[in-house]
Amino acid sequence: MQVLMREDFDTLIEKLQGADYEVIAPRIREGAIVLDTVDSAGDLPAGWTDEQEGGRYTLHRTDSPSLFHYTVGPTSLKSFLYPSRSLLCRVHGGHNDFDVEEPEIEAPQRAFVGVRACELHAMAIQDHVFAGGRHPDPVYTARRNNIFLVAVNCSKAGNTCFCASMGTGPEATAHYDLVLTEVVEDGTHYFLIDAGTKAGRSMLDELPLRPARAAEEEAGAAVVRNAAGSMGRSLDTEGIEDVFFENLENPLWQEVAERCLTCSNCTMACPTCFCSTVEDVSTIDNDMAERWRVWDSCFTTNFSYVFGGAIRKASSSRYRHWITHKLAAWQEQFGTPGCVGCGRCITWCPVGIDITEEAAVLRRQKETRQGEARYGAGTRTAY
Amino acid sequence: MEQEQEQPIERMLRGHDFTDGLSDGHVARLASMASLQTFHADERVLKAGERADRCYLIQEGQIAIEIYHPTRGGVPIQTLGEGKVLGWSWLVKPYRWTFDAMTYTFTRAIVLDGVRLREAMEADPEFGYPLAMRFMEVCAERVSHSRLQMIDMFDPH
Amino acid sequence: MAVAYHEPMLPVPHRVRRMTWETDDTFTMELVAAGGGGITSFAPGQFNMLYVFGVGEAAISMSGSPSNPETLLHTTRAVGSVTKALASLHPGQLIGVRGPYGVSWPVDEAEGRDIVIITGGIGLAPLRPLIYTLIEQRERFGNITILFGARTPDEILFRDEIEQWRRRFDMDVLITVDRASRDWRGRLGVVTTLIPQSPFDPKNSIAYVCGPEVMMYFTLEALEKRGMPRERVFVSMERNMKCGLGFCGHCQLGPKFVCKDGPVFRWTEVASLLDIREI
Repeated sequence: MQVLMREDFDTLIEKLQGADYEVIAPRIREGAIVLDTVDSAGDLPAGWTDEQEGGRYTLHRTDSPSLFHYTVGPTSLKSFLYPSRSLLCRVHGGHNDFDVEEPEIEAPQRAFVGVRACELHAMAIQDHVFAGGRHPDPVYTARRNNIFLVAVNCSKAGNTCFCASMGTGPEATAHYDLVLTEVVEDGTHYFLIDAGTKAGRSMLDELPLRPARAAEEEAGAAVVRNAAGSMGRSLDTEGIEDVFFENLENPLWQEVAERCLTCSNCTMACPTCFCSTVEDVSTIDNDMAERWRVWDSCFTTNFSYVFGGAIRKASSSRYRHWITHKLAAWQEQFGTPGCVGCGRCITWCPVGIDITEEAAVLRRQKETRQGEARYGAGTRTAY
Repeated sequence: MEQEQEQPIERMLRGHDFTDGLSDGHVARLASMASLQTFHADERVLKAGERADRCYLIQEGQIAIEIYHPTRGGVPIQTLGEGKVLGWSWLVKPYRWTFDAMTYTFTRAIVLDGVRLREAMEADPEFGYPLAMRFMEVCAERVSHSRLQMIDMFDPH
Repeated sequence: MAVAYHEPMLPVPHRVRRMTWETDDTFTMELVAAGGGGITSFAPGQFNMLYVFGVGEAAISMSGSPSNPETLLHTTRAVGSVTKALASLHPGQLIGVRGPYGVSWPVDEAEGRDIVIITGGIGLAPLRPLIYTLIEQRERFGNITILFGARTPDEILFRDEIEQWRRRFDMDVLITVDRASRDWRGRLGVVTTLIPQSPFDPKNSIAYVCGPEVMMYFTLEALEKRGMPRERVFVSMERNMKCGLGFCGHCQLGPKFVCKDGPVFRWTEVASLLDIREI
């Protein structure tokens, strides 16, 4: 482990820019900390922190000079690797004759600085979805191959965070080129830095570093321990597939549906949600048609449309589909859960529906039932 | 051990799906109320409103259950073929046929005497109950098939 | 950096060689790859994504013979925006094709067994490649029974071909319709009524089922009543599909992707899901 002093942090950004990377880092846009292009370290939200709750997100000034003392905002790596709109093809001609033009895939070299552990796990999950099957997605794989990832270990956990439950954070353990731990104490401000890949090690060689002292390493470990110990939410994943698949019919779905607006915010903010639809557009004289893949959400009625109507008409069915997919079905489909515990779906839900709370309600019902079965209770309180 | 000679009609009854699982004794008793009948194509088998006093276990052929419509004439609803049972109005009041039945093809059937059968079923529940359940199954199947026809499942709209 | 490997979502131009109207709203399209790159093989039950210029794509099963994949046939009903647009095309015009996708009907599993095919309406189209295959390899199987239901006599698909199959001595073809006048001298009633008396031995049979979900649900019930083990019943499911590749998420049936885990499923894989409303 080595140390990068705060005053040398700008060098990291400059070196990345020098290596032809567009540097993307957290910065404040429209009242939220989002991932966006930065010119220098000065664009980072130094001294800002966030406060998140179900349906609420606010930013506050702090006395600390830290660059990364906040958790994840509404955007994620997803929108960079899997754009919300991408052109699939352009078709020239008409019904009588046409040529299919393959668009060039925009896959800029990008370095992401300040990426959180949950974010990296979300990316690894999307790797399974888009690159793990028989037909790797060209847009995703091209973009994915052109990135450099500088992770940062979280120094705080948000009220809606539960990565510790999902085993995805707060410490970044994989999928990064470089990893930082920010330490601010006793008037000193530095980053512990380590590499996870060959590209990361080459970058280390370019930076003004010195070996970390034992006390500094301990200070870094304490930062991560502190974050791990202050998770605002938790989710028990033990046997979670059964919790959902045994409860596909449950009054809870109707109860949630009475609050759910089916607005799709959760699926848009989720760093793993991958559903899309295709939009067909054509020119007014109908000599060119385009096919665009755009993000879609299982909360829309049209999502499940087949001849004659939608399969999931009720919002209760749509919520059930989403949470069951996320926490249970995903495991069968891709070998991992579809949730990394980032808490975005809780924070950005306009009515604060809480994935951890709904999962806990189902689990309590299942345990109550098992208790009744054990003690031979005569009535079923839930099914 | 000497076996009683089995009547041909008894053998035919046992060969019909309706008697699957019935005891030999009960089949023999049914045979005592049974006769055989054949129909040409386009023969009327039942007429709505008439006294219901019999039941057909179809061995071969096709019989259409129809509703008479004043301008459209006989409107066929369902056809029944080999292994099916036609007619259960003899079992429930007021013992009148509710629909018409017409043969579409040459048809062979075992005819059960509905009046004697009803009386025997009432008098001897051990004989009557398994038979009543079989007729119940026939009705249940007929109702669910009608419902499936009603929803017009091949219509995509 | 620009990379060019977009193939999975790229439609390959195919020319319409022939349009055959099977019923009032159902047609068969014969397609030929316009500039090479066409499909060289497919298995019965698989589907392609068909693209109509400027309109969009729809997942349509292949309805031709797997032994003759260069004659690419798709039979579909003009009911949605894409299929209506397909229906308006003429020989010589172009559509896009990509595929083949999906899990096929398992043929080897039928070896030495009786076979019962239960289908209704347009559901016969994805089964026709299977029927061709079974006829070609007839000696491998026991009795073959096809039970087919249609809405009316006019809506019986592949009528001439069904007549040919009926005349064969090595298979039974039973047809029923849901509604008809007296002029129709055949069976009247839902297709499930044909199951109890059909000549297959449930202990050593395999069933292939394709039709509207309601039909399949009651068919499975009738098969079970006859003693057919669930694990030897196969169904083809239909869900909305945008990609056919497992990316778009639309076709999920519980944890299954109909496009890549199906469309053909062993009944035991989906039975519990079919009991859940709006799954």
